Amino acid sequence: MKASRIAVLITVFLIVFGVRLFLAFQTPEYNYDSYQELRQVEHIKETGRHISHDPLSYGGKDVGGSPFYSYILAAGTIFMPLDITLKVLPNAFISLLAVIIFFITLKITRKREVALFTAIISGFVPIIYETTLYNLSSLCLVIPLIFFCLHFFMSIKTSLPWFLVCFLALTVISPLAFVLILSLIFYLALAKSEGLRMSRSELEVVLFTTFFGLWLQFLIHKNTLLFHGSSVIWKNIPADMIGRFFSDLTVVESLVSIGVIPFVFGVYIIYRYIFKEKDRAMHLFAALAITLGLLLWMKLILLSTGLSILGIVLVILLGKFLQLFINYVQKTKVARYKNLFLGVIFTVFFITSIVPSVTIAQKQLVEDIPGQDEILALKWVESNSPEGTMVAELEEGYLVMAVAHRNTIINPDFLLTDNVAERISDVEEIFTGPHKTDALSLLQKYNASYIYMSPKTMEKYDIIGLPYADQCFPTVYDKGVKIYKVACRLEEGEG
Amino acid sequence: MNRKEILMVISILAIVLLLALIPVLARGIVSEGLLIGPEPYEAINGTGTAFSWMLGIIKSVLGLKAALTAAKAIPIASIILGGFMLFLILRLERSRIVSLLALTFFISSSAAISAMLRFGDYATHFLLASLGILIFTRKRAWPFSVIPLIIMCRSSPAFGLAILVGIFIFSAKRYLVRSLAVCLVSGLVGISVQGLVTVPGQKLLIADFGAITGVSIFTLLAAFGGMFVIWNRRTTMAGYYLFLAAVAAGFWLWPSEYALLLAAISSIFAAFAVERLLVMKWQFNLIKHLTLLTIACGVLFSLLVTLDTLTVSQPDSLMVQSWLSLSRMPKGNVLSLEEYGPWIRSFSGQEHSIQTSDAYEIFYAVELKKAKTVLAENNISYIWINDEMKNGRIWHQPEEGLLFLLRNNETFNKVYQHAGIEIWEVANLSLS
Repeated sequence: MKASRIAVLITVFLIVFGVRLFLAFQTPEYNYDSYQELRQVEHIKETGRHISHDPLSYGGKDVGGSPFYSYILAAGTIFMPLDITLKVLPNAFISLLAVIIFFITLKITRKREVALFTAIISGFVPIIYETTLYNLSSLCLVIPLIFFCLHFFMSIKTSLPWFLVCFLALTVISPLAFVLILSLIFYLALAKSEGLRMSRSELEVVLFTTFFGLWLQFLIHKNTLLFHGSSVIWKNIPADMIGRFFSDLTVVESLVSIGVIPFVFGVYIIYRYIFKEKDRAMHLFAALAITLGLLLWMKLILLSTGLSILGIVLVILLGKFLQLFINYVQKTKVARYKNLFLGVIFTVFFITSIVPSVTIAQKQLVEDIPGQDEILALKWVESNSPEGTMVAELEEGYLVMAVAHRNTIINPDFLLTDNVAERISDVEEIFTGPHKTDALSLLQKYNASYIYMSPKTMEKYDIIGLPYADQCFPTVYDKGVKIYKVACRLEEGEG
Repeated sequence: MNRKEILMVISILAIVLLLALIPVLARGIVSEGLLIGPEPYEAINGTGTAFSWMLGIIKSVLGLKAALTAAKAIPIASIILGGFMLFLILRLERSRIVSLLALTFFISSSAAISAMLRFGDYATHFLLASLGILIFTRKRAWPFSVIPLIIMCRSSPAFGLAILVGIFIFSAKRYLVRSLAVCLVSGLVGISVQGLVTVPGQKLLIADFGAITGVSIFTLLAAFGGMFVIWNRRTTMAGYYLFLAAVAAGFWLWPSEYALLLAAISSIFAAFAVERLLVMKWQFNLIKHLTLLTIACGVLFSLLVTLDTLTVSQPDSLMVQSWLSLSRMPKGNVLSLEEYGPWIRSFSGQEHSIQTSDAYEIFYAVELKKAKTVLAENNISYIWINDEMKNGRIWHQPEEGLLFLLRNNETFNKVYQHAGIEIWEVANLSLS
C-alpha cells in the first residue's frame, strides 16, 4: 500500500476517532445500560475473572452472555487507567469502521475518492452515535468485525485465515454472528437465483461458518438457551415491554437514524442490483441489508442494533451509487459540474448525518447519562447504609449495583431470571401504590431496606416522592435524589 | 461385501451401540438407573398401549420389581433394535454410508435418548413400526407385517397413521396391491377414529433449546441440506419428502407422539447431506475437516445437553427411599404435587387421589379449620413434601400456608424426614 494512502487512512481514522473522543469526554459517566459492563471490567481487573454469578442482581443470579468483550476492555486497563480505557477503546474500535469501509468501497468501486468519502460518512451515521458513543456495549467491536469478515469473504481464496480469525472473534464476542451467517446463506441463495456462478470456496466457507457459528453459540450460551429455549432471542423481556426494544421499523425512523443520503441511495442500489444487474459484491451487501430488514421486520433483532448495522451497509452501497453517478456525469454535458453535484450531496449529508450525530450526543448527555447528583447519592448510600437490597427503577438497576454496590430487585438483565414481569409490577407498585401496608408487604417480600428515587423516576411516574411516606419511610437523603429508609415491618397475623 | 468392509460396518455398529448405551450408563451412575419422569410408572399401572400391556403381563406374572426392571430394559432394547431395523431398511437405498450416518444421527438424537430413558411407549411403537416396515419389504413374509402394525396402531393411532401413510407413499409405485392391503388391514383393525383425537403436547423440537424429545439443531440443519442434496433425485426420492411432510404435519398436531418419527426422518435427510459433504471435492481441505468436525461436535453437544437434563431428572434415589418408607405405613391417600402421583402409587403402593384445586387449597390454607375440612373431604392420610415444593414450586416463604399449619402437632405428626423430604401423617381431623 502506498504511503500516501496510509496517511489518508490514518487521517480519516483520526478525524472520526477525534470527534468521537471529544464528545465522549464531555462526561466522565456512561449511559445507564453500561454500568453492568463497567462492573464486569472492574471485577476482571481486580480478580482476573468475570462475574458468572451476580449476588447483587435479582437477589443473586447467574449471568448469561459472553464475557470476552469485557476481558478485552479489562486487558486495555493494563496500559491505561480504567476511566480512560473505557472511553478510548470502544471509540477506537468503532472508529476502525472508517478504515474497513474504505477498503471495502475501494474494492467495489476502484475509486479512491469515493472510498474516502464513504469512509468519512461511515464515521457519522447518527444511529451508531446513539448506540455506541456513551455505551460500553460490545457493538463497538462487533460492527467492525462483521465488516472485516465481509471484506475478507470478498476475496476468500486469498484471505481465508484472516476471515477465520475475524469470524472466530465475532462469534465468541456476540450472538450477532448469526446476522453474518444468515446474510451469507441469503447471499448464496440470491446468487443462485440470479444465475451467478457459485464459487466453491464461498460455499465451503458458508457451510463451515453456519455449523461452527451455531455450535460455538450453543456452547457459550448453553445455560441461557436451556433456561429460555428459543425465546432467548427476545432476551426474556416481559411481553408488555417487548415493543420498547423490538419495535416496528418505520421509513421515517430509518431515514433519521441512518441518514437521508445513505438510506435513499443505498436502497436504490439494492433495487438496481437485485432486479437489473448482476454483481457478486453488490449481492453480498444487498443480502446483508435484506437479511437485516427481514430480521427487523420480524422483530428478531433489537431495533437499534439492526439499524446500526443496516446504516453501515447502506453507506457501502452509497459508495457504489457515487461511483455510478460520477461515471454517468462524466459522460454527460454537465461533466464540469461534477464537483458541484458532489458538494450538494456532501452538504445534504452534513445536514442529515453529521448534525444529527452531534445532536444525538448532546441529547444523550441529558437523557441517558446519570447526573452527578445521582452518582453522589449512590456513593452516599455505599458509605452510609448497611448492605442490603435497594429498590430502584428498572433502568437504574445497573447503576445502583455498580456505584452503591447494593442488591436490586430489577435491572435490564432479564436472562436466567424468573418472574420478571411480577418484579417489575411490584417495583412500580412500591413507587406509585397508595397504601403503605401493600408497599411494606412488597418490601418485605424482597427484603428491601432502602428506596432510591431519582429525578428520572419522579418524572417517569409523575410523583415528587413516595405517596405514602411517613415515619415508616424517613427520607435519609434529599439532594435532588431522594433516598428513603424502610423503618417498619409488617407482623404476621395468626390464622 | 469383502471382509474388510464387513469389519468396518461391524465396528461402526458397535460404536453406535455404545453411543446408545451412554445415556443408560450415565443415568445408572447418577441416579442408580431409576426410570425418569412419571410416564414409565403410569405405564406400569396403566393400560392401552403395547408397552403397558407388556409391563402389565410381567407385573402380574413376576411382580412389581420385575416390571420396573422390564420398564428400563424394554425401551432401550426397542430403540436399539428399531435403530438397526432402520439401518436394514435404508440398506435398500444401496448406500451403506447413508444407512450408518442415519443410524448414528438417530441414536444420538434427544428423542431417541428420551424414548430409551423415559418414553417407553414411543420406543415400543418405533420398534413395532420398524419391524412392520422391514417385514413389509421382504419378498414372501410381507403379509406378516400386519401383525406388528396392528399392535402399533392399536397402541397409538396417531403414530400408526403416520407409518401407514408412509408405507403407502413409499411403496405405492412398486407394490400398489401389497401396500394397499397392509395399510387397509392394519388401519381398519388398528385405528379407531376416537383414538386419533389426542391432546396436543408441547411443541418443542430442538434439543439444544431444552426439548427432551427433540432433535439436534445440527441434525435439522443437515437435514435441510439433505433436502437440497437429493433434490436431483426427487422422482425416485419423492417418498422421503412426502413422508417428511406427513410427519411434520403430525408433529405439529401430536408433537410428543411424532418426535421420534421426526428424528428418524431428519436423520435420514441429514445422512444424505453429510454423505455429500464427505464425497464432494473441496477447495479448502482444512474447511472440509473443520466442517465435519463441527457437525460431529454439534451432534455430540446436543447429546450431552440431553444427557445433562435427563440424568438428573426426577425421581432420584432419595425420593424413592422415602416412598419405600411410606410403603411400610398403613394404607391411605397421599397429598403431594400432582406430577409425583404415578411415582407415589408405584413405589409406595399408597393412593394419590385429590383434585388439583383441593390440593392447592390445602397448600395455601391459612386457617387450620379450613385445611382440616378439605383434608377430611379428600380422605388424606399423609402429606409428602420436598425441598423443591418448599423452595418456590409451591411455597416461597418458610412458614407460608400449610408449612405454618404443620406446626400443629395435634393434627400432624412428622413420620419421616431425610434430605429435605418430609412425610407428615394426618393424625386428627376432628374440627372441635
